[in-house]
Amino acid sequence: MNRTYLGEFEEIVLLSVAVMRGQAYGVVLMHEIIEQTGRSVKLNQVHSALQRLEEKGMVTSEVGGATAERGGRRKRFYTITAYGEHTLRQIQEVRDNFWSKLTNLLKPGIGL
Amino acid sequence: MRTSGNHPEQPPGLANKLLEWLVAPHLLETILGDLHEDFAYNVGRLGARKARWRYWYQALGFIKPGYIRRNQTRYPSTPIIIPGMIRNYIKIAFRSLLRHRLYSFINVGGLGLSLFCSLLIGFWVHDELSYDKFHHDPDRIYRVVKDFVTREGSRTPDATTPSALAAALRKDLPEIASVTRIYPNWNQKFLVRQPDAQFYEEGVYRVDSSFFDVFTFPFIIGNKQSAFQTPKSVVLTETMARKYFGSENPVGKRLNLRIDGGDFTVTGVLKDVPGNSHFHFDFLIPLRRRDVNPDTDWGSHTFYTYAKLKPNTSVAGFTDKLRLLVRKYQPENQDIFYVQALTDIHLNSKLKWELGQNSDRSYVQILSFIGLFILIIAGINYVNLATARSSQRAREVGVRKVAGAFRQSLIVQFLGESMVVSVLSGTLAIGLVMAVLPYFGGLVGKNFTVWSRLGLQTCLTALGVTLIIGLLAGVYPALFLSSFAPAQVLKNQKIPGARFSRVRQGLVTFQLWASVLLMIGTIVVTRQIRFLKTTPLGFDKEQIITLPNIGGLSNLDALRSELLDLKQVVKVGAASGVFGGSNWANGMASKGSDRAIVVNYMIVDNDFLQTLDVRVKQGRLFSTRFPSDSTASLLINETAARQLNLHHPLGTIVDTDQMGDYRTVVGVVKDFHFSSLHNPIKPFAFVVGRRNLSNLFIKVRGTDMKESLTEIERKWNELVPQRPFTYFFLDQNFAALHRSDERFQRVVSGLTVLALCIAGLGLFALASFTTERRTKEIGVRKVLGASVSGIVLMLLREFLKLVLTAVVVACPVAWYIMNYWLQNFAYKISMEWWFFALAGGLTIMIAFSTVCLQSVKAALVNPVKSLRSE
Repeated sequence: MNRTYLGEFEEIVLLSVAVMRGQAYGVVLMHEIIEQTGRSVKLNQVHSALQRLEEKGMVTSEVGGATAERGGRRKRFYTITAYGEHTLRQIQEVRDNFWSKLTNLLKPGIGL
Repeated sequence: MRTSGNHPEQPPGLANKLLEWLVAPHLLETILGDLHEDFAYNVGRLGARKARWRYWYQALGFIKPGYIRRNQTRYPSTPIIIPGMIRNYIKIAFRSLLRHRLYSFINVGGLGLSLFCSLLIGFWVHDELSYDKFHHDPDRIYRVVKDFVTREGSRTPDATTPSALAAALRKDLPEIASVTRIYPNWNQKFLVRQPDAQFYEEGVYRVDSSFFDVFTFPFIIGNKQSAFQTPKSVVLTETMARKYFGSENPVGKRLNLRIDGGDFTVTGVLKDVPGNSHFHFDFLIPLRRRDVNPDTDWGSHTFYTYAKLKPNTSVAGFTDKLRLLVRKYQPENQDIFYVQALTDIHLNSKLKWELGQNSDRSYVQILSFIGLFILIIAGINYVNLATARSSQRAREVGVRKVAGAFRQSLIVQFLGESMVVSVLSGTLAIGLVMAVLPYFGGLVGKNFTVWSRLGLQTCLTALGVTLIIGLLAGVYPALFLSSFAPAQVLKNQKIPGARFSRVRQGLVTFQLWASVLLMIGTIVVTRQIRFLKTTPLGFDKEQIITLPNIGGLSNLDALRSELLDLKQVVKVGAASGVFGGSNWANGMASKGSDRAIVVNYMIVDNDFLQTLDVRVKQGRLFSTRFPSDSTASLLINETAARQLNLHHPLGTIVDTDQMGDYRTVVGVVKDFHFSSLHNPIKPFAFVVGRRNLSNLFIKVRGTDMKESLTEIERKWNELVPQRPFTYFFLDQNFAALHRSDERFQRVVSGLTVLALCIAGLGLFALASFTTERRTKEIGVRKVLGASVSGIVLMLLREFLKLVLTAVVVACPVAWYIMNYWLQNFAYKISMEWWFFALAGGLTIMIAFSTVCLQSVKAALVNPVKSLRSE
């Protein structure tokens, strides 16, 4: 396995960045994750995960889109990179592999 | 940064402030934006109050190193201190020092000289303040003293106490940790004779064995338990041990002190008594009295009592108990007892019968002030010169700023320059001090060395002070020089600092003020010391040789007549004491009156008063023609007659010891100074006696003192071979009383001269710079027809104002301070107007001659030269 290690929370953040297709920024990501997972997530956690992902090259960011409720401050939009997508896919493959073995093993026992 | 009217609710400002302050700038915008957006969302969902709480909760999450750490690469900033730049600063500093030699010389030399002076003063002050602090717990040791009160209530502060006091204190007061008595033997001389050495010794103290519990004098050999086990024990100092026993171990050896019946056994050797102790001894022997039990005798006040109190004892409470204690044992005693802290004695105690000559706090204060003034004067020189020549540095500042220097880095540079100067001068000062310290020690009568704890401490403090001075003196020039706007200075439009700024005027005025102050001080001190030396004392102290060891001599009369046969000897007289030394005192009252006063007295022979030429005012002197003189006559001085209330003193009968020794006054002598001129003339009396004559006074004629001495010594050795020949000159003995005043005068005048030099140098350099600044102006004026004298006057006018202000302000201050100093003397000069005029005149002269030199030079320059460059 030749890939950068991704923490579980980083993976979720990366997934949600991918899902939101270029419209992802700190606070909406937080709300999205809270909604999807039901965990209590703090903004600083999301920001530091995004920073780490950017350092690892899995997302890129650009600024823009100031709104009034932000006090005129610009957002930092995050987009997943090809490398990020590749990493996600790899994780998915590994999991699929395991799952396929697990289902084969469990089927008779469960009696499905 | 306020949101528009859609969202009236605002997130907490304090949290914003906190984040703006803490969070790295490159992250701040998005983080704050996200927080605000979340807040707006929460206001809609949860309400404003809860939203605010959540805002705080979310915001505090960002207070973490990851968000606070500044991004180094994105916005690089110039650090103030870079090694390369520091090297450059130092290089430039040395270059500019080398380029402007005069300026550097005045700065480094002046500052070094002033540091040198302050360092010397520092050594002296440090030593004065360190008196008696070498004992363990010096703050718990006190001396019990009293005000001697006569029946009529006249009070004389007196350091002596009766011997029973210590015993009573030890017995009755639980606050006492230990208490000791000292009996200094009152100038008694001990002929110490060893097989190969024979000397008179004075430093023999009788002390209690608890002496070493109160005081800390470390033993080299022996210990405090074994020191005074027998009444014939003696403890010596190291020097004495070497003097009498050489390199042998003296403990157990015998030493003949010729008192108490002979041989003492050495039981211990002490380190020499440190110079900063208020009493000095060479031998310690146990305290005994032949006549009475010392623990019960309240009668004779010839002892010193020192007590070490237990920790946390209140001195006021102790004093109350002390007075009650004296009342208890001595209900009749009127004296008021109190205590003095040991460490206060040297600088603050001025009682009668001190154990040694104490110093005075005013000396310490005055010298510290002078040291401070000298430092400030040199510091001002630096500030003035650094700002005055700012135009020379202006271009450098401009170029540095254009090349990207920030103001901070320029401040660091200029501060660094002043540090270089101060470190150089500090090194210079310490080097000078090392070379000069032994001489200085000789001048002030102390033993100084750099290589001691005290010396190194002082030097380190001096280095610290140097750096602080460097910083302080550097701050103003650094702020001033770094404030130039590059566009202006590079275009040469306006050269800052050309103006004689108010700050600089103030500084120069202060310098001149301090100089005038010092000068007036020196004049007053010098006049007063001259006055001390030249005031007629009321007796003749010149040409008198004193032989101090004739006490108990059986063939005194033979010696006297043999001496009188010498052709050099005019007259010979004997007395129990020496003027200028200590003498005895008794309470005396005229018969029938119970109003007693304290009268100093001396036992003399019939010739003493003629020998010293004490003048008679009324009646007659003692004479062999009146045999009753030796038992029933008395001579008093005018003060005694006045204080005894004798309007017709001759023939009055006086009770001379309040115990019934009645004597008739046969004469009144004119007042004479028998102690230093610090003290007013006190009542004095003479009685004739044969016992107790201990000093022989020989009046000699001619100028060949050496020959007279040889002759006298020859006679002495013929007649008194068993005693060594010792002598002193009475005038020198008297001069010794004012030695500390004289030293003070020498130190103050030396320092004043140095201070004036430093101030003068500074003024000279400043004048040269300001004149240089106006070269072009002078050129234009000359072209337009100004005369040389007109130009010189114009340049002088600027300084005249400052000098006059300084003189006017300094005079009253000087008057006040010197008046305070003169209060030390009972006999003093009055301050006259010409002191002030002389000091003012001298200052004006010095200031003008330095400024004139520059002004005339500038005014004489051919305008073609000064105007050519444009």
